[in-house]
Amino acid sequence: MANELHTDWESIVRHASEVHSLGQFGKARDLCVNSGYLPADLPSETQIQISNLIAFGNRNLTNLFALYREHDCVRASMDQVSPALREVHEEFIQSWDMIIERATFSKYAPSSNPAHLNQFYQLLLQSGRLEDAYNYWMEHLWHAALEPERILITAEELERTGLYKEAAEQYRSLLSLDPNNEAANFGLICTLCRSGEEAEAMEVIFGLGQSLDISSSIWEKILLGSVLGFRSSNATLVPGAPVQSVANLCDEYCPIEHEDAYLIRALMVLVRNNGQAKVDELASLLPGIQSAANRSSSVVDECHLELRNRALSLIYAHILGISPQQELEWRSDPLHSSRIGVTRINGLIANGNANDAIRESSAVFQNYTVASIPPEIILVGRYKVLESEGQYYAVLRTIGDISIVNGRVIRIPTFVYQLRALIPTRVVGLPRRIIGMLWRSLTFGDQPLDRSFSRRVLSSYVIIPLRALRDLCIKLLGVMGKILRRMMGRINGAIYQMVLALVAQRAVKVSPELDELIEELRAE
Amino acid sequence: MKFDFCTVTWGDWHTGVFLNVNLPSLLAEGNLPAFAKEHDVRYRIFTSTRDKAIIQAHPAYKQAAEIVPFKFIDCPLENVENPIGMHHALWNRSVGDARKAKRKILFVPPDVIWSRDGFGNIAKRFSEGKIAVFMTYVRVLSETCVPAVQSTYGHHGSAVLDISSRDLVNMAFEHIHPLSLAYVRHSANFPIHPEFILWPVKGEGYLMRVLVREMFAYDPNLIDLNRNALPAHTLDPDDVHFITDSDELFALSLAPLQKDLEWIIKPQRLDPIRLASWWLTYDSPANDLSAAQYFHVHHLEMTADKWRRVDQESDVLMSRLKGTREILRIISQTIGSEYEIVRQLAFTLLGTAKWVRLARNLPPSTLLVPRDEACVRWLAGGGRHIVTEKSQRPLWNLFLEHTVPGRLILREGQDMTLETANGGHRKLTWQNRQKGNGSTIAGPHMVPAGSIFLKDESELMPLIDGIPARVVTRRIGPHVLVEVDSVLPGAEHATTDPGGIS
Repeated sequence: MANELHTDWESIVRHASEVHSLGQFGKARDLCVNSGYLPADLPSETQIQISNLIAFGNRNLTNLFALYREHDCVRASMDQVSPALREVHEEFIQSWDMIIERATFSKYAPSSNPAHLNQFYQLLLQSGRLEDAYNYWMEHLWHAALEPERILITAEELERTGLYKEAAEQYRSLLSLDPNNEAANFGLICTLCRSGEEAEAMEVIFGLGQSLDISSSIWEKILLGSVLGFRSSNATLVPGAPVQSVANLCDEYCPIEHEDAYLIRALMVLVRNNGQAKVDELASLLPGIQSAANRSSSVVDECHLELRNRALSLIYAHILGISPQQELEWRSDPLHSSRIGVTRINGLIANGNANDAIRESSAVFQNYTVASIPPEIILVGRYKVLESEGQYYAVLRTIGDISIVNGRVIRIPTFVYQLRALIPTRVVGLPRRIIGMLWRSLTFGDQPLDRSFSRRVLSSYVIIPLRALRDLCIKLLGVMGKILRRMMGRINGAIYQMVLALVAQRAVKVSPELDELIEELRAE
Repeated sequence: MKFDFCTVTWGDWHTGVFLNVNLPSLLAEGNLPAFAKEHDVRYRIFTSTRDKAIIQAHPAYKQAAEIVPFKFIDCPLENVENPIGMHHALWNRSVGDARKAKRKILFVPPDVIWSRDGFGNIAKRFSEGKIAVFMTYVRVLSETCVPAVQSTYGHHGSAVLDISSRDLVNMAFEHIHPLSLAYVRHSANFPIHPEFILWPVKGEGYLMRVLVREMFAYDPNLIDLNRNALPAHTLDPDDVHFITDSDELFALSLAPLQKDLEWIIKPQRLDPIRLASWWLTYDSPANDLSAAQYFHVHHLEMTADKWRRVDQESDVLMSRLKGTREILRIISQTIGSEYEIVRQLAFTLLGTAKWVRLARNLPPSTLLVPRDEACVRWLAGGGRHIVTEKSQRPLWNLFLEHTVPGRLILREGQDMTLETANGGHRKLTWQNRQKGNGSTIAGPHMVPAGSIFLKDESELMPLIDGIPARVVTRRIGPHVLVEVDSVLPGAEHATTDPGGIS
């Protein structure tokens, strides 16, 4: 009945012939069905009234306004009924307000469907209640607008923790809201592959291929296919069938005259080899790939650039010989820990858990603090002022390349840097390596040796003395190390003293207080 | 003016591109010859004995040597263990030499191709009184770009490569390195070393916003560098020139295909918090100056509307990055276990776009910071409701209410009204400490000096809105920390509008 009325109503509006009758509104309101979001404890009369209004608002009013904006004839007719419309708006809005208010005290929530919320927002706007509309948007639609991202992050987290079934559900729920969501499609395919549901994964891929425009989505499909190829080789898929299908997919969409043919062919190599790319073959294709990838850069198509970039990074990963584990790990962790962290924090805040939210935020962001920020020099007249460990040092501006070590201003000659760059790191690490080798050579495999009598004898007469010798060596090395460190300390001190002479330490002014130092310098 | 041009080069690849494309493009009439006409130039090349012989035998060098005097500095570069360290060491050396000789310095990296007229333009800028000129490069594939440049612009019998800026930009787009593409704002493989960000302008080029720019041409007697070879002090914007239009000067930076691949191999989107943290690691007072510039790389005439829209789009991100960086600076420098909860509370706001945008223009301020025990009391007494509110506005407003911008001059015993960062007002009053014969420090005291302006044994104790306070000797970047005994109540506002930092 409602559908008939709906259709009938639209036709009435379209033809603008019978709109004048206000009775139609009443008829519509009385006959529309309950939208299903109402608390059961409302009086039946109110329930019917509200449900009629909701249904009316949701199903008809938007259409009406769309037509109103588009067609002059409808507009002319609608003008005559606008007072009635306004009245209905008001009624609708009041009822909705009431529902929201009641919902806060009962287990029944108002509609959480973003489409409904959005319609209500539109109604508020059309009724001239701009402030209410804005507040409503901030309170309800803002979160609704963020919903897809929240679902995506949840799904990705589930995938990362190995809960593939739950992750797939989340991806699907996101796709029901936004069928063209690339990340959700991609995530769903990967999740299905990981959980061994290869047939379903292929269905998604082919479904996606059919639903998209071939010419514009060729890259996407091939990339998805190649990723599937990788996954299948490393995860639980039965090798062969899906990979072959992907290879066929690549063949199908690989016109040789296409400007990106090189790249497509390289991807096909990856796919056909079940993820184990032939490095040489790919490497030989690379210059062409790069050339093809860059040829259309002058057109500056951001989307394509990005896709090419992804494809190239995929190929590089194989040329560099990254292990499947690394590749999987990298591919499956495209999220930023900060982004996940923000979501977690928001979740804790939403649950009213302040202490945990604060702790979580600290754990998430601690890594982003910077322990050593390069100090700023303050220029004052002919001096420059540097801060080091709570002290301020004023040095003549003409002296360059200075450092402050242990409270002394020093100027390290440039040949020292040059010398350091020349000394092989192997030489620097030599003593450590020697000690490491000694240690390893003295650490016999204890467990097997102790298993037989003859080995126990061997152990008593050879191993134990050797161990004692090893311990002695270690102690000696420790003592020598201490002596060496002391010697090095003295040598360092001597170098500092020597270098200090180059700076003319007398020209350096030191003060724990910046302002005092600046005043003193300005007074000079 | 006297200039040192400095090139550090060794090895077949670097010396090869230097001789085959860099030096020939430098020989274009509007480059080295134009520069040498306006200023006194000596060209210093730091290289190995073997490469010196190769360079001296090359026709491009012979032609260049007729324009400016060259000096080779022989270095033992055959088996350098740490090439980057050696590069820096030699640059340092050249800076030191230029400083001693009272000359300005211009770095000519060996792996670059220059557009015509660029150096002539730089020479003019220095003649106008600039003390530094900054520029940017676009990285291209050396494997394909070098042969393309040579075949398109090379002439038999001439060592000169004379290429217009727009042709060079076209060349950049045709041979752009994957690393450069990864710098596009929405790239799925945003580099781990994010020194700049690109925004494509459809059909016309790229907008580049630079976070960190190394020195190109400057006066080492007037500009000091920090450990990252970036300016260590603020620069007067009138003293420096940024080449922001590729028509003025454009340069291709050559790199082999696999160069710095590890920067982009891991898929990751541009993450403002991570990027701001990286930016702080390469902090320099000159960074904001570079970041404020719009570098336009274009191969056609620019359609004003198109570029303006992209410029504005980039502003949104840049303001967020700057604000996040400033908050991270404060958090990073608020060292001490007694302020852990305040740090953690600030962390919860790090993802709040509006808050970080407000923070981007925070002037040097006095931060009224409660210790942890005070924060625990506050959380238990209702503060947690502010933390768990859906809107984070009350929490970041609370931070603004604990921030007093500007420089305070306090006189002991003299009441004051402090204006908070969100336009509120707080009362500073004084109370007897009742400590007997404590000494008093007289006169005005500058809080931002970071020194104790009132010692604990002073007779009078400052109160902020009735809450005891004491100045702690701690500078947080440009800010100063004042410790208060509890989280301060809401400040008084003259109007209902919370205002904020403009």
